[in-house]
Amino acid sequence: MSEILIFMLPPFVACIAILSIHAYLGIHVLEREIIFVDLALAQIAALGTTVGFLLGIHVEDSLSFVFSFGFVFFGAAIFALTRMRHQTIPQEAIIGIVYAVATAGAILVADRAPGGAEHIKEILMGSILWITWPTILKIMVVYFLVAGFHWALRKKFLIITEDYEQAVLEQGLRVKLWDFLFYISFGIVIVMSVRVAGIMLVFSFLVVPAAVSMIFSKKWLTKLMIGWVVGLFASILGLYTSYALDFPSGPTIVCFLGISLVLAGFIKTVWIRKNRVVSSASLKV
Amino acid sequence: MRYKSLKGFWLVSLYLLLLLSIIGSGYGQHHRTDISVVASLPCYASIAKYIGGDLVIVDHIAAGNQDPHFVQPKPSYARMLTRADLFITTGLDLELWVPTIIDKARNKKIFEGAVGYVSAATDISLVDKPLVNPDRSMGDVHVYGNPHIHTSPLNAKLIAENILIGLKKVSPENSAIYDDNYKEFVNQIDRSMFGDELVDMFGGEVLSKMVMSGTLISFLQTKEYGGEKLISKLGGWLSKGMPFRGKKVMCYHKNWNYFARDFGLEIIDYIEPKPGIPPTAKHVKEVIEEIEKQDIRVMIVANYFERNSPKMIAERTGIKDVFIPLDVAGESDVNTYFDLINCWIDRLNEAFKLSG
Repeated sequence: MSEILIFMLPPFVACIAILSIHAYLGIHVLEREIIFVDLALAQIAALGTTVGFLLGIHVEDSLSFVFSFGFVFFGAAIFALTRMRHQTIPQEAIIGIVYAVATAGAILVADRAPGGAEHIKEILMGSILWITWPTILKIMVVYFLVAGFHWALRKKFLIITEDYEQAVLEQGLRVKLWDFLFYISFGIVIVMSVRVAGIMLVFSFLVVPAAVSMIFSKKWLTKLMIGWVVGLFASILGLYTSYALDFPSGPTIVCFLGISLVLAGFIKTVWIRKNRVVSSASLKV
Repeated sequence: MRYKSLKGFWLVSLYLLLLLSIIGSGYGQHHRTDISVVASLPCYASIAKYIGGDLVIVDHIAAGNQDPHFVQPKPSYARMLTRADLFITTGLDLELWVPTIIDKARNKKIFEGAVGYVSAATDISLVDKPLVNPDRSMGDVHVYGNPHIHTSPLNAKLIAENILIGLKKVSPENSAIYDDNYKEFVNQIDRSMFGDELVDMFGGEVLSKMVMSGTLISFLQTKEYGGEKLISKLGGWLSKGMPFRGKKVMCYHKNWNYFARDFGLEIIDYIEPKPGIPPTAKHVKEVIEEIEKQDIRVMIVANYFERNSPKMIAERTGIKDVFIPLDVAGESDVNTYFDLINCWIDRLNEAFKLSG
């Protein structure tokens, strides 16, 4: 048993690292109600690595990161520029279209390269099982720097997330700049995570812990704690099950995150029912 | 009046177009004197170029750094085959995508069994023949045996013979030239494999038979000639491969079994839990334990496989991971069959030296 634990330790630590920063960013994303931005940026990052792959740059090379981030830079610019107060096209539509085109683009690019299909599968599923300590160190350093950046500017980021209208009235066009900085830092995290965990797991770590936390609380710190706990359990169960049943780890953890959301909804409904019964009973008395 | 002349214009244009296309197609065919050879894999194309020389134009479908099991059939491949006079494929169950494009091409000359169809594996004795009727639960098992025949230079001679027979059937007027080219190719392979001295003494055929029966090295190490053990006269690839003869290796997939037979490598296990099945956590953990227990120093991975699991295994155990092209043109500088074998031997020697 202990051998299994030692064997699965790097993937587990990687999950925790990714979860830590994604749960926080996810609360932002859900607050802004633009969920698909993560999926779209993750796919754009994947398109970047795929173009690099076609040019013979392996995913592990630093140059691949540059390609990936270059694409995300443009994506972030598009999203920030198209977030207007009065929308002719809903921003969700733009994000969805960008996602679809980026996916199609990646498939076309991969089609030109031998072994492209495998690459697409790997981008989607991730390779968290095979992660090595040097890579974990790399991503932790990047996450730490981004987290520091966000902590230093937390007030600004909070305002533009929670009350966009207010921010525009108070600060005018500079909101676009802060939005852009938010998306850039967000993009850096996504680019690092997608290379390791794949698009599906990155998206799920972003959205599900934050979603579960929203069911139970409105306070930022509480939501973050709940998100981390949910993600922790899903990771443990997911990694163990994938080992025991020979499943790829990424998709297994995603399924457990999904289950945790269903469970959370169930618990909340039961809790509300119980409270209603108690309060109506106390009324009768 | 205007309408009549317009109709006339179109009729004349159509007539001219038809005339031009008939002349054009005839013109093209009339001037094509060389034989168009298409191979499923680059190694067969390379060997065919040696046999056919300037009389053939060769092309291949799968890329050298592509998994030969999984090639997406594309319309351009079918187009390549419509013009082919000779088509070379392994002829076992490796290139399962070939029948689709042959059908699409509708070129009668190269249907399976036709004059222009060459099965490269004919008369080659296969290893890894399944002992029971294979089913999907055993993974992606090849029912006739291991189809990666080109990894043995000795097999290359038999492949060349099959291609020779095909070329002579398709263009009998050049038979003498093909025969000469074939003899030269076989001679080059023998000398590259064993070195000039032993080939002059015993002839390539005898030496090859001894390699197949696994008796060559012990024979050379015991018999003497002119006061020296024969082994000192060994040259070529076998001599260059002596440093890693008898060494243990780990492989990703069952690509290298014929090479291992010829060069004395001992393949302990594969990273794939079953052929064609991607590595699982449980199996990789077992592989790591095996590498540590048996002190395996080198891991051979064809360069079209994913790198994540080999790199992780290398990081955990210190084993040297060697990513080499399975086929010709799988890397720049690997342009002929001879380049390919040289590449493998050099890289293996380098890996074993680095791993201490």
